[in-house]
Amino acid sequence: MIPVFDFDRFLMGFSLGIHIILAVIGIALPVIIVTAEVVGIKRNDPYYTRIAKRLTTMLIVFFAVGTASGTLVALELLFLWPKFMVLVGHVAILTLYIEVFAFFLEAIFLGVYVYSWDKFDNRYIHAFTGVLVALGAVLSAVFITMLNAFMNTPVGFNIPEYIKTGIIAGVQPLAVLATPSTLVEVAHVVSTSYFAGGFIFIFYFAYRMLRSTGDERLHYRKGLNIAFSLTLIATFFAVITGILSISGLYAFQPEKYAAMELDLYPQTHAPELLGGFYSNGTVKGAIASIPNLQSILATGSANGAVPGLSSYPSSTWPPLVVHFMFDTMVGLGFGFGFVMLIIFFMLVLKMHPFDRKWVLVLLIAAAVVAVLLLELGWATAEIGRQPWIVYNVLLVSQAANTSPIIIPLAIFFVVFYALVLPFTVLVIKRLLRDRPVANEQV
Amino acid sequence: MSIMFSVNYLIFSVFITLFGLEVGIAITLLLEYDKYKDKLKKFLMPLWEVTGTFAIFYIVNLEATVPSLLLLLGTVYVAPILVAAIFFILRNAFLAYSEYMGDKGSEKRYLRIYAIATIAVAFIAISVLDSGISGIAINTSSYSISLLRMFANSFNILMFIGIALLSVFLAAVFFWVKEYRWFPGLAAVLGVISVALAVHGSLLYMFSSAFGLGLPYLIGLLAMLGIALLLYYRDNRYAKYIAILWFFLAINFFGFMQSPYILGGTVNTNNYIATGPIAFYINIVTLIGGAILVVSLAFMVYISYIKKSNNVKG
Repeated sequence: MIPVFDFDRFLMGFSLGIHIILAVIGIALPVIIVTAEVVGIKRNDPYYTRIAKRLTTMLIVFFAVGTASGTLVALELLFLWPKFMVLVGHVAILTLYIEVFAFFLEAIFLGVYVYSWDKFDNRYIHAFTGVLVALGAVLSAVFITMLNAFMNTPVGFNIPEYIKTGIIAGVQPLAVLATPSTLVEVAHVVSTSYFAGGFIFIFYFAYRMLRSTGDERLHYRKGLNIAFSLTLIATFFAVITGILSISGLYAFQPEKYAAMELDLYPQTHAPELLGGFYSNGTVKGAIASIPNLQSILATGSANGAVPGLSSYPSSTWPPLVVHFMFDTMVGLGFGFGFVMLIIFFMLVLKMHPFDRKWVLVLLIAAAVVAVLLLELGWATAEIGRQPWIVYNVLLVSQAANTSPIIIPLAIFFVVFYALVLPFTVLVIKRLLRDRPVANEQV
Repeated sequence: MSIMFSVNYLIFSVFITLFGLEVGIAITLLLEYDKYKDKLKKFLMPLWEVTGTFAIFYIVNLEATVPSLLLLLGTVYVAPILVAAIFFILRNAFLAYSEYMGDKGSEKRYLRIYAIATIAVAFIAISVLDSGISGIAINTSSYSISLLRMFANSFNILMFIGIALLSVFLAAVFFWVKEYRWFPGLAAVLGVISVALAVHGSLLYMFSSAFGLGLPYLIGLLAMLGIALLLYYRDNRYAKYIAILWFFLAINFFGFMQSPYILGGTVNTNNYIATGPIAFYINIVTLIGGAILVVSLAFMVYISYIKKSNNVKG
């Protein structure tokens, strides 16, 4: 029989999987909107102003559903994992608490931004209120990620005493804001949020370009310029911070690192294993094994030692499917870098890539994969920490709410989201269809 | 009452005041859609996000204020709170959908779904709060709850009816329509009677004899009737601010009467309040964040009052 805490896990993972898509839209979209508005003012170009106004409509709907799904995740943290929240409440609550104020900044200035288009003599002031929306959104992500960093590399209290007696002592609240993994994790989350969020709007603009002509096509093309520029910069930082994240895992979560690399034993001159799965104590089915590469990437030296799962009891190994997820993520990431580079060079060489149908189709396909990458990224990070909710401190099974009512709730939530999300997309599609680009007031 | 718990109650009161007004709007939308819709939406649209954010603010502040109580509260209330969250998502989604619908039929349909979802959130939230106050349906030793008892007891039902009526009073004062000048007074009288019956009929044991005389209800009723009369004879410029202040104070008054106990007097919250360095930093963040919040909200109100510019340039 499946234990109740697995339903907690499923419900939390499912809700986060949905929320993360809405969250990256909420982070990237205000930046695209403000950029469009500022370019529109600076160049006196009505196309960009129109883009900003139409995307604001989208932002309202996504914000409404996104904040609600975020609220659900916040509630689930407390109600699915009450013992975890007791620990957080005593030690790490500052992260969530400061995040609320960032959320306020976003919510209040979104209201100001939406309802004050014609209220300022100087339009830059209006654009500035949009900057505050973008700032609030990204700060929310920063502080939430700080809590996640605490879960991965807990600090700020007497951990041995807590493990031994369950008593929380020696609390240092500020230490939680700067755990060993905080900086890199925050940088990676922010850059990948702009990357994935940007790609969602690349999808939208590229798709609309394929289906429109003349003036309308020009409107979407200008939108694509902005979304692509943002995403290109974000891709660069996502790759750099991604590499740093792996180094961080090597240093601070060696067991998770070993599972993601499928290292069964500690070794030097470790090869980079592409593909493969664990079966009966050995690794089978690897596509390729590149000698020394893993040691070089992790330690900077071919002679560098990497950890192995055999150093840890098998009861605390993460599910080894994370190796497959990790390899898929890295492989797709490389593919992305390649696509972005090709288009970037086409732009530099003035080859007008966005006027070519194959480029637009490629971008649409890439955007779908970008969302998949986003999901794979967070799933690898979270599944890689299992069975711990707070690494080496608190097990998921210890922290969970084991009330049997979780089971029907989990099923109900899946059905609910399966209805609400497609409906939201339909509504946005319909409301944009009812407002033709040409009729948009600027 | 400690500083932390007072701040928690302050946040709670702001949230309940905003949400109470929203419940009043929701009920009014269901009863008198055509007459009130434009007035209600004009107020609702910039504010609904702030109301939702205050809900989160309250929850996170509660987690910071009484972390040791979270195991009990989290375990017991998981089902009603997550079901309320479903309705909360519907509330947000359908209000946003309605904002940009070109055809009137869809807008009306979506606003009605929004209204029903909002009332459902309110009913569940009030039921949770009522059981938190009274301890009805909660077993604190086994960390269990009887959902049927939590929803279907006289205290909860009367409280919900009373609060719903008082919310309607608030909305009626806020969005004054002269054809219904008797309406706020009637809603106020019925609302106070219902709350009084709930507290004195079902939970008499919780209050001291001074309050047993019904004095607070008399004061509350007189205040509301004063507001209703002000509306009846004069315009609503001041009445709506007085009403909102009264609502805010009434919630605080109600809360302070029970402090520091919850769950029918079985749990003394003073024993669970956070202390030490975490409490210090929470207070500092509350101070700084609260100041930013007040300034931001003031700016929002200011923007809502300034007129459209005829000289937009950039």
